[in-house]
Amino acid sequence: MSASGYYELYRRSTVGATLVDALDALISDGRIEASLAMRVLDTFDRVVAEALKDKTEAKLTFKGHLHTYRFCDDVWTFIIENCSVKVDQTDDIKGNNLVVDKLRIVACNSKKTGE
Amino acid sequence: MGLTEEQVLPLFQGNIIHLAKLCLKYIQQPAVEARKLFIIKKLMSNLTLLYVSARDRHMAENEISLWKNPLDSFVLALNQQLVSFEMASEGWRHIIGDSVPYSDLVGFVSSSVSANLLVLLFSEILVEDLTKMHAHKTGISHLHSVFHEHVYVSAMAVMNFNLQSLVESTSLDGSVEGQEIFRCVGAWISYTSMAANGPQGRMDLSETFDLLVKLMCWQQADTEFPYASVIIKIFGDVFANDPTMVNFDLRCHIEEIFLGASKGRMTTNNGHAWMLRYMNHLVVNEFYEELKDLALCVVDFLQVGTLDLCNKLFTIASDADMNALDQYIKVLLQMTNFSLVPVLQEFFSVRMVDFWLDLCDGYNNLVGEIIKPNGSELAASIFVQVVEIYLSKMGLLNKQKILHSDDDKTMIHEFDDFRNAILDLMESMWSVLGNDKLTDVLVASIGQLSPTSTADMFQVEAMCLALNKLMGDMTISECPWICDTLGSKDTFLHNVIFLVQMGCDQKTTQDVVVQTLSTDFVKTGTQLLGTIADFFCQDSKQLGTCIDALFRCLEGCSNMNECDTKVELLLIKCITTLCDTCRHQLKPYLPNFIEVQRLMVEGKSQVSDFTKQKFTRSLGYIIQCNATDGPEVQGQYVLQVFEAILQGINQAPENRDHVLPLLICLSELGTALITPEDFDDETYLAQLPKFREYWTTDPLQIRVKIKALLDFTFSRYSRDSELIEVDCLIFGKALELPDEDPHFLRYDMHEIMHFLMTRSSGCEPSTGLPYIIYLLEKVVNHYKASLTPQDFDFMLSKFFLERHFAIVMADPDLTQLMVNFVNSILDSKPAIALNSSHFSSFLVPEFLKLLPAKERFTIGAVTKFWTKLVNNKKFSRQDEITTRECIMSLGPQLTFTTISALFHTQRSDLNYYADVLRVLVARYGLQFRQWITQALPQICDNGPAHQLLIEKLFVTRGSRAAANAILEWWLSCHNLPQLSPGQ
Repeated sequence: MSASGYYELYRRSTVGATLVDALDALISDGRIEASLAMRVLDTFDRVVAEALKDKTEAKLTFKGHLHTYRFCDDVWTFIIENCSVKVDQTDDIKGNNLVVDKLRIVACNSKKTGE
Repeated sequence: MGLTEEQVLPLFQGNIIHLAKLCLKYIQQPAVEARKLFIIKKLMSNLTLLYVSARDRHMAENEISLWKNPLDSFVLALNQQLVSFEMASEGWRHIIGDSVPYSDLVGFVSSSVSANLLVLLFSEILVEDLTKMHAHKTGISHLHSVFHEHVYVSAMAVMNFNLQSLVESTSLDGSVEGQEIFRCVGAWISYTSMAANGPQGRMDLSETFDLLVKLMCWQQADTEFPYASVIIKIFGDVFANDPTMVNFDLRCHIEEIFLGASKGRMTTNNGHAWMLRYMNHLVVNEFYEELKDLALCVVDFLQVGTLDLCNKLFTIASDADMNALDQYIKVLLQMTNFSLVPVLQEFFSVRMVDFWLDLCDGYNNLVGEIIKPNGSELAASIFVQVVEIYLSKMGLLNKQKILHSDDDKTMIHEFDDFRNAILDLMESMWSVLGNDKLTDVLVASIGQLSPTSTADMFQVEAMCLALNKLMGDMTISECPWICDTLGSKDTFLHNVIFLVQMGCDQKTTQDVVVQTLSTDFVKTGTQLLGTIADFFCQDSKQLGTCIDALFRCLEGCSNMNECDTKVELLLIKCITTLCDTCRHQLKPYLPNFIEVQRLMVEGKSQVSDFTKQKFTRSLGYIIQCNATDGPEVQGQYVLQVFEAILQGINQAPENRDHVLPLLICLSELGTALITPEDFDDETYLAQLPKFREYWTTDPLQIRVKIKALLDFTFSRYSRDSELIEVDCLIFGKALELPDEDPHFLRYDMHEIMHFLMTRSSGCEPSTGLPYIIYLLEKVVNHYKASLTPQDFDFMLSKFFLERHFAIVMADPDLTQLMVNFVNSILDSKPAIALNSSHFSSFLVPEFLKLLPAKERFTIGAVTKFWTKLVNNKKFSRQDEITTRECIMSLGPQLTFTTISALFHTQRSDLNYYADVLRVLVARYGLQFRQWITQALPQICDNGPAHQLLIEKLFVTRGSRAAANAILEWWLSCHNLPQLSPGQ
């Protein structure tokens, strides 16, 4: 959890990692301070969480055998074997399924402390 | 925040003086000074921050550390007119440490509306800021206990005084002050909920809740509900997040208000007259947002006690009054059946899905021994009613109303979500009702209807949708009784087919609403037909009717609009499923299928490319199982299909967009002809050697003809990567099958290699080569047992190093392709790469040069190569010796190049290089210490960091933790902060 109360896990996504690279370059060039980079990343944490909550419509359904589940430090982890994944895009009714040997789902509580 | 005790006191004094000045002006002239309210709010926030600093446990004992109640200090400052430092006549100790008695506090807030507003505002800001701080500040739990002991007492006095005044007032109060009370209450509820887990226990808000309930029900006339909506929102939040804040007695009282019955007290007192009036008021005035808030609040409230209700209803542990419970359930069912359009106008039915699901799951989880003797009948009687209500609610009649009223698609999506949630509920209710009370009833009901209008079809559609969900979880072939039910009434299938036909008939209209609904008809109908495909395997007498109807519907499709295209896709998907599942039963229709397919691939055909391809696959399924008459007959059918495709291509060979889909049809035919793993047709298995022999000799020369066709199209479209992709798919179709499986596309290695080299020499490498190499990898994998290092040298030369070398090295995608090809060899049979002549002359030196690449694709591929070369489970003993010699001589250079590349790369690529270093530490620990000790000082001058890295690398011994050590070293060398946790 970052200082702003949002998860930092999206920093490891492609867009997050790329932002970190860009901030590294700006710090190295002396164009911004490290503290500003931290603020940018705090904002990123918040914006990603809000955007995923409010601006996404795609749905994903999956079916498979639940191999492992655990709940530790407020984080659920599910490992599903022989999983059939279907992304429901409203306009795409060809609906091709994707079959994977193993799917790992990591789920955190979307409600921040105090909410 | 890091303030010292010496800093806090003057900041406090300055801040509160300034705040008092502005507040006193505001109290005197609220209208004039209103624009300064935002400054006042900021100053109040500052005071909150200072309060938190003053309560810091580590702060030394001094005057400010006595500060326990900012709300009292604020009132004292205003009472004293504290506008300058000197005016603190009784000393700062008084402002900081004295309490304000209840009578003085109430006296102050009663003195003026503005004074009251300011106290409420400060109270709200205090708890809001503390709630925010709690999320990221540790060690403030002691603050909550001081807060509980002091601020809570003052704030409750002010809030409850205000609420009581509203209760006792005789007129409406929609003033700013009135709104502020509810904002303040909301903030206190959030804070109390958040601070509940402290040693001091929960702050009790019962009196406040009691007053809120009174205010909620406060009414001036039959049509005036001034506070209901805002208080329902507050209670909605409480019940959704922390329902136990409201005590049991008050919950029972609220239950009586909402439902007129209480399962807690077992009463039925019709006490919900207010609720009925309020709902009527909202419905009559079309206040649907408020109605939604009410639904959310009520259902969240109900969900608090679902388990309790479940136990009272169904278990022997309870001696509850069943009449009262009956009444209670009746109210809940009425609420579920709220007589408005779900999503558009009412949300009770939408939210109640979750409630019924919880109740149903609760019942399903009960141990058999504790269920009442009549428990299962009671559960069934309740859930049968729920099914009936929801079958009506989920009907497309409601979707039609939403479509007519709303251009925005959001509500349509919400309604579709509602339908899906009901389907999940149906699935759960099946465990209670079983086939006899649910599945069979649905089948019978669909069969009993004689639909004559769209409204009738809405009913059929809803039941088909529910049935589809239930059937989807069954293995119909293993449930003979389900097949009996499905087959018992011909009208069942007749109505399902009629549903599809009606959708297809209506799709030609220009009305978008009708188009949308007709697509839903076809979707539900075709999905159900696909789901019960196994039934046709058991009882195929209606299969012909079904297929005929689908063909007729397909015939009517011409891709004239989006709806038409969707309907065509749904139909072909259903046909493909039926052909796949009922391939045996459809054998008699094979000649008709071949004729239809011939018409489809003609140049003038209007069916979509997707349909052509899927139909050819469907046809292929039937040909695949046509083994009774031997391979010759199968061969003839394959030839007919191929010739139809060939004829289609020859009609317009210059039209690339016509040729490509037809070639894909050929690939689809190849896919369909692959024998399924569970195919247990004894006639076929007995003839397997004959089939094998037949397709090896290929007397009809089908393979030759196909190759000729592909060569012909390649001669026209040699630079077209999509055609190359399809060619590769066709040529490689049989490579993933075991050698003993017969297949008409089984080309031998020589033919495939010849094909690949022709394509490679003529294609545009940047777009075509990836498909060629993909097939080459499959060839290597299939024939790896017979491949030699010379073959590998040959492949590497022909496909990468001769004709395309310059472009491969210049294009990062192709470079990655080449490295990945080598990696795939290291994964399957590393010896052929290790012993090839290119290994030492090209692979090692060139791939070393590629390590400092800038493109992530290249870095990913090349670091994988080095990782696999250093540590590979597929290595034989001899391979180990070869690579050990290589790495021992190359170690210093490899280590230096890797670390140098790592040093110059960006943070997000560090892990690729870290993987190489990790395997080097793990496999060549002794030597690696020397290599890295020599390499690091050449990279940069940071001795302590280098030493720390070496120590950490050897402590972690190549584990994942080594990646963190490498990140720390990189950050230290670049003077960068650690921005992400656990990279």
